[in-house]
Amino acid sequence: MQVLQSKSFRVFVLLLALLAGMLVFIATHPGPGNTGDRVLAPVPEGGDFVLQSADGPVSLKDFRGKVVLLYFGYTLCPDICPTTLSTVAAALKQLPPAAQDQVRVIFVSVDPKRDTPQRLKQYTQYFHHNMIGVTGEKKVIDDIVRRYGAIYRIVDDGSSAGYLVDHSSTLYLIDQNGKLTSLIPHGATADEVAKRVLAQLKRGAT
Amino acid sequence: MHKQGIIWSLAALLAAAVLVLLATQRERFLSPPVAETAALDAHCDLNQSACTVALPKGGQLTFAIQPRPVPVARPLKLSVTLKGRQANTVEVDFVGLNMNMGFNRPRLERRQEGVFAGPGELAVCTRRKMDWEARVLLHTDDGIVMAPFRFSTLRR
Repeated sequence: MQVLQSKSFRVFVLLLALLAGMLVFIATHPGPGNTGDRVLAPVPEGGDFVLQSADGPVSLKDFRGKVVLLYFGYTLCPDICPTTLSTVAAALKQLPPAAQDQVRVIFVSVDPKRDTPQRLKQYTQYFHHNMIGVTGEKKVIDDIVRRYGAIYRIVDDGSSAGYLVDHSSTLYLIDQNGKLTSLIPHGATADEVAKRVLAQLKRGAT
Repeated sequence: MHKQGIIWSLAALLAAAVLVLLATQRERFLSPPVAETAALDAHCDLNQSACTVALPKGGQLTFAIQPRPVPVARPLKLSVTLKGRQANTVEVDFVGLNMNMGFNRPRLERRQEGVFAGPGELAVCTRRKMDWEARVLLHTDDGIVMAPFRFSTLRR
Protein backbone atom coordinates (compact mmCIF):
# COMPACT_ATOMS: atom_id res chain seq x y z
CA MET A 1 0.00 0.00 0.00
CA GLN A 2 2.85 2.31 0.87
CA VAL A 3 4.40 1.74 -2.58
CA LEU A 4 1.12 2.62 -4.32
CA GLN A 5 0.89 5.93 -2.45
CA SER A 6 4.50 7.02 -2.92
CA LYS A 7 5.40 10.09 -5.02
CA SER A 8 7.48 8.11 -7.51
CA PHE A 9 4.58 5.75 -8.07
CA ARG A 10 2.26 8.66 -8.84
CA VAL A 11 4.81 9.97 -11.36
CA PHE A 12 4.95 6.50 -12.86
CA VAL A 13 1.14 6.36 -13.22
CA LEU A 14 1.22 9.81 -14.84
CA LEU A 15 3.81 8.60 -17.36
CA LEU A 16 1.67 5.55 -18.00
CA ALA A 17 -1.32 7.78 -18.73
CA LEU A 18 0.86 9.88 -21.05
CA LEU A 19 1.95 6.76 -22.91
CA ALA A 20 -1.67 5.64 -23.28
CA GLY A 21 -2.55 9.11 -24.58
CA MET A 22 0.27 8.92 -27.16
CA LEU A 23 -0.99 5.54 -28.27
CA VAL A 24 -4.52 6.84 -28.80
CA PHE A 25 -3.17 9.92 -30.64
CA ILE A 26 -0.96 7.93 -33.00
CA ALA A 27 -3.68 5.38 -33.71
CA THR A 28 -6.36 7.95 -34.42
CA HIS A 29 -4.41 10.91 -35.81
CA PRO A 30 -4.71 10.92 -39.59
CA GLY A 31 -1.19 12.35 -40.08
CA PRO A 32 -0.45 15.52 -42.04
CA GLY A 33 -0.59 13.95 -45.49
CA ASN A 34 -3.38 11.53 -44.91
CA THR A 35 -6.64 12.18 -46.66
CA GLY A 36 -8.98 9.33 -45.88
CA ASP A 37 -6.83 6.26 -46.43
CA ARG A 38 -4.42 8.12 -48.74
CA VAL A 39 -0.90 8.75 -47.60
CA LEU A 40 1.29 10.84 -49.85
CA ALA A 41 4.69 9.18 -49.88
CA PRO A 42 7.55 11.49 -48.90
CA VAL A 43 10.09 12.31 -51.60
CA PRO A 44 12.89 9.68 -51.43
CA GLU A 45 15.86 10.84 -49.39
CA GLY A 46 18.49 8.74 -51.24
CA GLY A 47 21.86 8.92 -49.52
CA ASP A 48 25.15 7.10 -49.18
CA PHE A 49 25.66 3.36 -49.21
CA VAL A 50 28.44 0.79 -49.38
CA LEU A 51 28.07 -2.39 -51.45
CA GLN A 52 30.42 -5.03 -52.79
CA SER A 53 31.88 -5.18 -56.29
CA ALA A 54 34.32 -7.69 -57.78
CA ASP A 55 37.07 -5.16 -57.06
CA GLY A 56 36.13 -4.57 -53.44
CA PRO A 57 33.71 -2.36 -51.55
CA VAL A 58 32.08 0.48 -53.47
CA SER A 59 30.73 3.51 -51.65
CA LEU A 60 28.62 6.25 -53.20
CA LYS A 61 31.05 8.60 -51.43
CA ASP A 62 33.81 7.33 -53.76
CA PHE A 63 32.13 9.26 -56.58
CA ARG A 64 31.91 12.74 -55.10
CA GLY A 65 32.53 15.19 -57.92
CA LYS A 66 30.94 12.82 -60.46
CA VAL A 67 27.36 12.39 -61.63
CA VAL A 68 26.00 8.94 -60.76
CA LEU A 69 23.16 7.05 -62.40
CA LEU A 70 21.83 4.41 -60.01
CA TYR A 71 19.79 1.45 -61.20
CA PHE A 72 18.29 -1.55 -59.38
CA GLY A 73 18.02 -4.83 -61.27
CA TYR A 74 19.53 -8.29 -61.66
CA THR A 75 21.60 -10.02 -64.32
CA LEU A 76 18.96 -12.67 -65.18
CA CYS A 77 16.43 -9.89 -65.81
CA PRO A 78 14.90 -10.86 -69.15
CA ASP A 79 14.13 -7.53 -70.78
CA ILE A 80 13.84 -4.36 -68.71
CA CYS A 81 17.44 -4.28 -67.35
CA PRO A 82 19.25 -4.96 -70.62
CA THR A 83 17.07 -2.39 -72.37
CA THR A 84 17.73 0.29 -69.77
CA LEU A 85 21.46 -0.46 -69.51
CA SER A 86 21.79 -0.38 -73.31
CA THR A 87 20.04 2.99 -73.35
CA VAL A 88 22.35 4.29 -70.62
CA ALA A 89 25.43 2.98 -72.45
CA ALA A 90 24.26 4.68 -75.66
CA ALA A 91 23.70 7.90 -73.68
CA LEU A 92 27.21 7.76 -72.21
CA LYS A 93 28.73 7.19 -75.64
CA GLN A 94 27.03 10.39 -76.84
CA LEU A 95 28.94 12.43 -74.28
CA PRO A 96 32.39 13.87 -75.00
CA PRO A 97 35.15 11.67 -73.44
CA ALA A 98 35.89 14.26 -70.72
CA ALA A 99 32.21 14.32 -69.73
CA GLN A 100 31.99 10.50 -69.83
CA ASP A 101 34.78 10.39 -67.29
CA GLN A 102 32.63 12.49 -64.94
CA VAL A 103 29.80 9.94 -64.92
CA ARG A 104 29.46 6.54 -63.26
CA VAL A 105 26.59 4.07 -63.46
CA ILE A 106 26.00 1.88 -60.41
CA PHE A 107 23.97 -1.25 -61.10
CA VAL A 108 22.70 -2.63 -57.78
CA SER A 109 21.67 -6.26 -57.99
CA VAL A 110 18.63 -7.01 -55.85
CA ASP A 111 19.31 -10.72 -56.42
CA PRO A 112 22.45 -11.33 -54.33
CA LYS A 113 21.72 -15.07 -54.20
CA ARG A 114 22.51 -15.50 -57.89
CA ASP A 115 24.48 -12.35 -58.73
CA THR A 116 28.03 -12.68 -57.47
CA PRO A 117 30.24 -9.58 -57.70
CA GLN A 118 32.26 -11.32 -60.43
CA ARG A 119 29.14 -12.08 -62.46
CA LEU A 120 28.00 -8.48 -62.02
CA LYS A 121 31.35 -7.19 -63.28
CA GLN A 122 31.12 -9.28 -66.44
CA TYR A 123 27.51 -8.19 -66.98
CA THR A 124 28.03 -4.45 -66.52
CA GLN A 125 31.31 -4.28 -68.45
CA TYR A 126 29.48 -5.73 -71.42
CA PHE A 127 27.43 -2.50 -71.57
CA HIS A 128 29.99 0.20 -70.66
CA HIS A 129 33.30 0.47 -68.85
CA ASN A 130 31.88 3.19 -66.55
CA MET A 131 29.28 0.81 -65.15
CA ILE A 132 29.91 -0.86 -61.83
CA GLY A 133 27.93 -3.90 -60.68
CA VAL A 134 27.44 -4.17 -56.93
CA THR A 135 25.40 -6.15 -54.47
CA GLY A 136 25.36 -6.95 -50.77
CA GLU A 137 23.42 -8.42 -47.89
CA LYS A 138 19.65 -8.38 -48.27
CA LYS A 139 19.14 -6.03 -45.32
CA VAL A 140 21.63 -3.53 -46.77
CA ILE A 141 19.97 -3.70 -50.20
CA ASP A 142 16.51 -3.35 -48.64
CA ASP A 143 17.60 -0.21 -46.80
CA ILE A 144 18.99 1.38 -50.00
CA VAL A 145 15.88 0.38 -51.97
CA ARG A 146 13.66 2.00 -49.31
CA ARG A 147 15.71 5.20 -49.17
CA TYR A 148 15.52 5.64 -52.94
CA GLY A 149 11.77 4.92 -53.10
CA ALA A 150 12.37 1.84 -55.24
CA ILE A 151 10.82 -1.60 -54.88
CA TYR A 152 11.67 -5.20 -55.68
CA ARG A 153 10.13 -8.56 -54.93
CA ILE A 154 11.04 -12.14 -55.75
CA VAL A 155 8.36 -13.83 -57.85
CA ASP A 156 8.79 -17.59 -57.76
CA ASP A 157 6.24 -19.11 -60.11
CA GLY A 158 7.92 -22.51 -59.98
CA SER A 159 9.22 -22.24 -63.54
CA SER A 160 12.25 -24.33 -64.47
CA ALA A 161 14.04 -21.16 -65.53
CA GLY A 162 14.12 -20.05 -61.89
CA TYR A 163 12.46 -17.13 -60.18
CA LEU A 164 11.89 -13.65 -61.58
CA VAL A 165 12.32 -10.41 -59.68
CA ASP A 166 9.87 -7.54 -59.99
CA HIS A 167 11.80 -4.31 -59.55
CA SER A 168 11.71 -0.59 -60.19
CA SER A 169 12.86 0.32 -63.66
CA THR A 170 13.73 3.91 -62.86
CA LEU A 171 17.17 5.49 -63.15
CA TYR A 172 18.15 7.62 -60.16
CA LEU A 173 20.21 10.69 -61.05
CA ILE A 174 22.63 11.61 -58.26
CA ASP A 175 24.58 14.88 -58.32
CA GLN A 176 28.27 15.51 -57.74
CA ASN A 177 27.60 15.88 -54.02
CA GLY A 178 25.89 12.51 -53.63
CA LYS A 179 22.39 13.99 -53.55
CA LEU A 180 19.47 12.33 -55.35
CA THR A 181 18.23 15.01 -57.73
CA SER A 182 15.70 13.35 -60.02
CA LEU A 183 14.29 10.14 -61.43
CA ILE A 184 14.53 9.17 -65.10
CA PRO A 185 11.83 6.76 -66.32
CA HIS A 186 12.69 3.48 -68.01
CA GLY A 187 11.24 4.65 -71.32
CA ALA A 188 13.61 7.62 -71.64
CA THR A 189 15.66 7.58 -74.84
CA ALA A 190 19.47 7.70 -74.93
CA ASP A 191 19.21 11.33 -76.10
CA GLU A 192 17.03 12.22 -73.12
CA VAL A 193 19.32 10.46 -70.64
CA ALA A 194 22.40 12.15 -72.17
CA LYS A 195 20.66 15.52 -71.98
CA ARG A 196 19.76 15.04 -68.31
CA VAL A 197 23.29 13.93 -67.44
CA LEU A 198 24.88 16.82 -69.34
CA ALA A 199 22.54 19.30 -67.64
CA GLN A 200 23.60 17.91 -64.26
CA LEU A 201 27.28 18.08 -65.20
CA LYS A 202 26.81 21.75 -66.09
CA ARG A 203 24.81 22.52 -62.95
CA GLY A 204 27.43 21.00 -60.69
CA ALA A 205 26.88 19.91 -57.11
CA THR A 206 23.97 21.40 -55.19
CA MET B 1 3.05 -6.43 -5.09
CA HIS B 2 0.49 -8.07 -7.36
CA LYS B 3 -0.93 -4.67 -8.41
CA GLN B 4 2.57 -3.41 -9.09
CA GLY B 5 3.24 -6.35 -11.39
CA ILE B 6 0.07 -5.66 -13.37
CA ILE B 7 0.95 -1.98 -13.76
CA TRP B 8 4.50 -2.77 -14.90
CA SER B 9 3.17 -5.26 -17.44
CA LEU B 10 0.68 -2.67 -18.68
CA ALA B 11 3.45 -0.09 -19.02
CA ALA B 12 5.65 -2.48 -20.98
CA LEU B 13 2.72 -3.38 -23.26
CA LEU B 14 1.85 0.27 -23.88
CA ALA B 15 5.46 1.20 -24.58
CA ALA B 16 5.75 -1.67 -27.05
CA ALA B 17 2.50 -0.65 -28.76
CA VAL B 18 3.70 2.97 -29.12
CA LEU B 19 7.03 1.80 -30.60
CA VAL B 20 5.32 -0.56 -33.06
CA LEU B 21 2.88 2.15 -34.16
CA LEU B 22 5.66 4.71 -34.59
CA ALA B 23 7.69 2.24 -36.66
CA THR B 24 4.82 1.16 -38.89
CA GLN B 25 3.27 4.60 -39.30
CA ARG B 26 6.57 6.44 -39.86
CA GLU B 27 5.69 7.34 -43.44
CA ARG B 28 2.34 8.76 -42.40
CA PHE B 29 4.00 11.38 -40.27
CA LEU B 30 6.72 12.20 -42.82
CA SER B 31 4.27 12.62 -45.70
CA PRO B 32 3.68 16.11 -47.09
CA PRO B 33 0.52 17.85 -45.86
CA VAL B 34 -2.51 17.86 -48.16
CA ALA B 35 -4.84 20.83 -47.80
CA GLU B 36 -7.71 19.63 -49.97
CA THR B 37 -8.75 16.37 -51.65
CA ALA B 38 -11.26 15.98 -54.47
CA ALA B 39 -13.76 13.13 -54.33
CA LEU B 40 -12.88 10.02 -56.33
CA ASP B 41 -15.10 9.54 -59.38
CA ALA B 42 -15.35 5.77 -59.66
CA HIS B 43 -17.27 6.01 -62.92
CA CYS B 44 -14.61 7.79 -64.96
CA ASP B 45 -11.98 5.48 -66.41
CA LEU B 46 -8.73 7.02 -67.67
CA ASN B 47 -8.43 4.10 -70.08
CA GLN B 48 -11.51 5.41 -71.88
CA SER B 49 -11.36 9.18 -71.64
CA ALA B 50 -10.08 12.23 -69.81
CA CYS B 51 -11.65 12.69 -66.37
CA THR B 52 -12.91 15.93 -64.85
CA VAL B 53 -13.51 16.56 -61.15
CA ALA B 54 -14.78 19.51 -59.18
CA LEU B 55 -12.32 20.67 -56.51
CA PRO B 56 -13.77 21.06 -53.00
CA LYS B 57 -12.86 24.74 -52.64
CA GLY B 58 -13.81 25.73 -56.18
CA GLY B 59 -12.61 25.20 -59.71
CA GLN B 60 -12.29 22.03 -61.72
CA LEU B 61 -9.49 19.80 -62.92
CA THR B 62 -9.30 17.61 -66.02
CA PHE B 63 -6.71 14.85 -66.18
CA ALA B 64 -5.83 12.70 -69.19
CA ILE B 65 -3.29 10.00 -69.97
CA GLN B 66 -2.35 9.05 -73.53
CA PRO B 67 -2.23 6.54 -75.15
CA ARG B 68 -5.39 4.66 -74.21
CA PRO B 69 -5.71 2.05 -72.87
CA VAL B 70 -2.83 3.04 -70.61
CA PRO B 71 0.18 0.75 -71.22
CA VAL B 72 2.93 -0.20 -68.74
CA ALA B 73 6.63 0.43 -69.37
CA ARG B 74 5.84 2.76 -72.26
CA PRO B 75 6.17 6.55 -72.40
CA LEU B 76 2.93 8.27 -71.42
CA LYS B 77 1.68 11.78 -72.12
CA LEU B 78 0.08 13.28 -69.04
CA SER B 79 -1.99 16.43 -69.12
CA VAL B 80 -3.80 18.48 -66.50
CA THR B 81 -6.12 21.36 -67.31
CA LEU B 82 -7.36 23.68 -64.59
CA LYS B 83 -10.39 25.94 -64.69
CA GLY B 84 -11.03 28.47 -61.95
CA ARG B 85 -7.97 27.36 -59.98
CA GLN B 86 -4.29 28.29 -59.99
CA ALA B 87 -1.31 26.04 -59.33
CA ASN B 88 2.38 26.87 -59.06
CA THR B 89 3.46 23.36 -60.01
CA VAL B 90 1.64 20.13 -60.84
CA GLU B 91 2.79 16.56 -60.18
CA VAL B 92 1.15 13.19 -60.75
CA ASP B 93 1.76 10.56 -58.08
CA PHE B 94 1.23 7.02 -59.40
CA VAL B 95 0.40 4.56 -56.64
CA GLY B 96 0.01 0.80 -57.14
CA LEU B 97 -3.17 -0.25 -55.32
CA ASN B 98 -2.75 -4.03 -55.38
CA MET B 99 1.05 -3.89 -55.12
CA ASN B 100 3.57 -1.33 -53.92
CA MET B 101 5.25 -0.06 -57.08
CA GLY B 102 7.62 2.43 -55.48
CA PHE B 103 7.90 6.20 -55.81
CA ASN B 104 6.75 7.50 -59.19
CA ARG B 105 5.80 11.19 -59.21
CA PRO B 106 6.57 13.00 -62.47
CA ARG B 107 6.37 16.79 -62.48
CA LEU B 108 4.46 18.39 -65.34
CA GLU B 109 5.51 21.53 -67.20
CA ARG B 110 3.32 24.58 -67.54
CA ARG B 111 2.37 24.76 -71.23
CA GLN B 112 -0.02 27.70 -71.03
CA GLU B 113 -2.29 29.32 -68.45
CA GLY B 114 -3.97 26.47 -66.56
CA VAL B 115 -2.49 23.74 -68.78
CA PHE B 116 0.27 21.42 -67.53
CA ALA B 117 1.72 18.46 -69.42
CA GLY B 118 4.67 16.12 -69.42
CA PRO B 119 5.89 12.56 -69.78
CA GLY B 120 5.31 9.73 -67.35
CA GLU B 121 5.63 5.98 -67.20
CA LEU B 122 4.28 3.07 -65.20
CA ALA B 123 6.59 0.35 -63.93
CA VAL B 124 6.01 -3.16 -65.21
CA CYS B 125 5.47 -6.07 -62.86
CA THR B 126 4.89 -9.78 -63.26
CA ARG B 127 1.28 -9.42 -62.11
CA ARG B 128 -0.95 -9.41 -65.18
CA LYS B 129 -3.51 -6.86 -63.96
CA MET B 130 -2.44 -3.86 -61.94
CA ASP B 131 -4.78 -1.37 -60.30
CA TRP B 132 -3.47 2.16 -60.03
CA GLU B 133 -4.40 5.45 -58.49
CA ALA B 134 -3.05 8.55 -60.20
CA ARG B 135 -3.07 11.40 -57.71
CA VAL B 136 -2.84 14.76 -59.39
CA LEU B 137 -1.10 17.11 -56.96
CA LEU B 138 -1.57 20.85 -57.37
CA HIS B 139 0.97 22.83 -55.41
CA THR B 140 -0.90 26.03 -54.61
CA ASP B 141 -0.27 28.99 -52.31
CA ASP B 142 -2.71 27.34 -49.87
CA GLY B 143 -1.00 23.94 -49.88
CA ILE B 144 -1.34 20.74 -51.86
CA VAL B 145 -4.65 20.00 -53.58
CA MET B 146 -5.04 16.31 -54.44
CA ALA B 147 -7.32 14.81 -57.08
CA PRO B 148 -7.30 10.98 -57.25
CA PHE B 149 -8.21 8.95 -60.35
CA ARG B 150 -8.25 5.16 -60.70
CA PHE B 151 -7.50 2.89 -63.63
CA SER B 152 -6.13 -0.57 -64.38
CA THR B 153 -3.40 -1.80 -66.68
CA LEU B 154 -2.93 -5.17 -68.31
CA ARG B 155 0.51 -6.60 -69.05
CA ARG B 156 0.60 -7.85 -72.61
